Amino acid sequence: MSREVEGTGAAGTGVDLGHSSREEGAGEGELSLAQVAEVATLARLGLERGELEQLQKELSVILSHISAIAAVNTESVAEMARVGETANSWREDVTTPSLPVELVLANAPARQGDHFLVGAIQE
Amino acid sequence: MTAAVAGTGNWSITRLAQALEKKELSSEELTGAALDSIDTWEPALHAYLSQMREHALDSARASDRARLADEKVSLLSGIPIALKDVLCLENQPVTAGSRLLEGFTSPYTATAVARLKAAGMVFVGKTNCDEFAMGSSTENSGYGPTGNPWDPACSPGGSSGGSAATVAARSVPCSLGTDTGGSIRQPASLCGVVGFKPTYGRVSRYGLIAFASSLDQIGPFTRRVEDAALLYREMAGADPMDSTTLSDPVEDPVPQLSAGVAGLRLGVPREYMGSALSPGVRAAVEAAIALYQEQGAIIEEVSLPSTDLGLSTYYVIAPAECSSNLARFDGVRYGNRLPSELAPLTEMYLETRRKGFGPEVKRRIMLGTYVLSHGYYDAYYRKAQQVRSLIANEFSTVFSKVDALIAPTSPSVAFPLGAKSDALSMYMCDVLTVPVNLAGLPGISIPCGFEDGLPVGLQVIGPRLADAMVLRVAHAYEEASGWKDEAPKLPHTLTTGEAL
Repeated sequence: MSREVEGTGAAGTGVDLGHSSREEGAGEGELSLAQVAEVATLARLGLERGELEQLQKELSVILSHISAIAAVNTESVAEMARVGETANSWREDVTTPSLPVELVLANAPARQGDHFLVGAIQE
Repeated sequence: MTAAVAGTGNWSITRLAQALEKKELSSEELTGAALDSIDTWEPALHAYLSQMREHALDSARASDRARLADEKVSLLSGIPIALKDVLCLENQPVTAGSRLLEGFTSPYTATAVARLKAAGMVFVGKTNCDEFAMGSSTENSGYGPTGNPWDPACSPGGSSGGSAATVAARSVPCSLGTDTGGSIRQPASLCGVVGFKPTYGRVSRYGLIAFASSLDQIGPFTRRVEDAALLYREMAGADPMDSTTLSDPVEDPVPQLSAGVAGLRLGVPREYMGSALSPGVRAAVEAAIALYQEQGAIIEEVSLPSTDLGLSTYYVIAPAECSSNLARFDGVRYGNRLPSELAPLTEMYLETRRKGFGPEVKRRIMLGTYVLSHGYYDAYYRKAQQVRSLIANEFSTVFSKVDALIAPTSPSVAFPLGAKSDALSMYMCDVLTVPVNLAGLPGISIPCGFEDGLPVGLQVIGPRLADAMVLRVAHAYEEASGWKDEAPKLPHTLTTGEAL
């Protein structure tokens, strides 16, 4: 994969999904197996081939249902970026107590001193 | 069970509180009876993921001591309550129904829970739910499904199935759930109890394990509308720990509960009464509408034309938010890390998430990641946010003409466990509840009859911040109808001791 996203999910939107992945026989509006595999990689899900094939079918069905919204005329309709009228919630920039370090680390799978311990970041 | 507790299973919180206040009953007796009832029902229901017997009895005794010392205590002090296992209570386990969080202990308490704790409520256990609250049947729990007290072979609905089932079984007078697309109202409907989703932003989400942050809302399950009002009143209000909570003052719903519906305009959205309704649901809801009319309400048919787009919109926005929220479950700071020995970071992410999440959670993370990805964002996410505006605007237009809406909660009654094997047919369960979440409105489900021995739910929907109006309209029906006293019977197999 040529592009990496921050973190483990793909919450960002700047990720290209490889639109050319049609070689595995996906029809119009359906996902190819390669696309499903790429989404799984972005989502850090480590899925096996059987799961990918299952998801290819299921996601295609769900997406075809969801695509009903494509036909809706939304010209000049604003996106609902927030629920209700609250725009921003401001407060003074003051430091308040945090959870104690010991409590935060209590559920850590592995720790070293006051840090979370993980394996090698670069292979 | 002591003599004092016998027969209190159907009592309202108010009546229980009066008995506690007069010392006719102790919280220890009441809590003990609740714990015993839970144990009796558990083989048939599997409503709980963890129980807190000692913690509960300690809290109950503390409440009794306060009352005996004539300290000023809340009406809610000493009342047992169960918590959906997505809500944090300090030093207690919370799993969100996921194997990934097996063994996790909450380092702090959710604001909504803390407010009930401060009122002296007694927490008896954490209830089963669909994994990370994603589902409509509780079958997506990593720990096995919950049964419906009216027929344990049927689903209690979901995702807050355990919370609905334990209240329906009369084990506890109340519980908390969360509602992202119907996860309080739909199980309340299927279990024949009251389930209230407040206006988005009325109850703090701090300490709730997030599924879709612009939709999630905490609310109560009870057997009486008044009880739902009491719990809502205690939990609602601004919280500095959740910047989406509303600063508007919380209107106390209790004083106006009995104001009735005479002269109120109640709308019936024609799209909610479509052909998808089962005959028994339609008949029960039509009878409820007639009863409202008898009470002096002015019934008007209204239209919410984008209703059928609700599910499509929801299944873009909710998975998108979930794919972002669930990125935190990566094995670094908490949860079951795999492989157990120190492995390269990427391998750890992939293994932890592949083995930790169940199929529905993976499906939604995949869907959400896809709709947010470059090249698809405009077609799906941006479009869905626009359609969401349309749906919210249609509600606003209708609420300029009517005070509240009445409609079915679920198109059908409880279905057998295992009956909905494909994702899309399960998603359809929420067709009448998701628009309310998309628009951020308050909604409640109350019992309104039966079809083939299984409960039907009536949904009341109000404008933003009209939580008190929703409760008032629901209360008027509850008083006029007799459904609140209908209770499921303990399954024959449990009373005779036969193996299930």
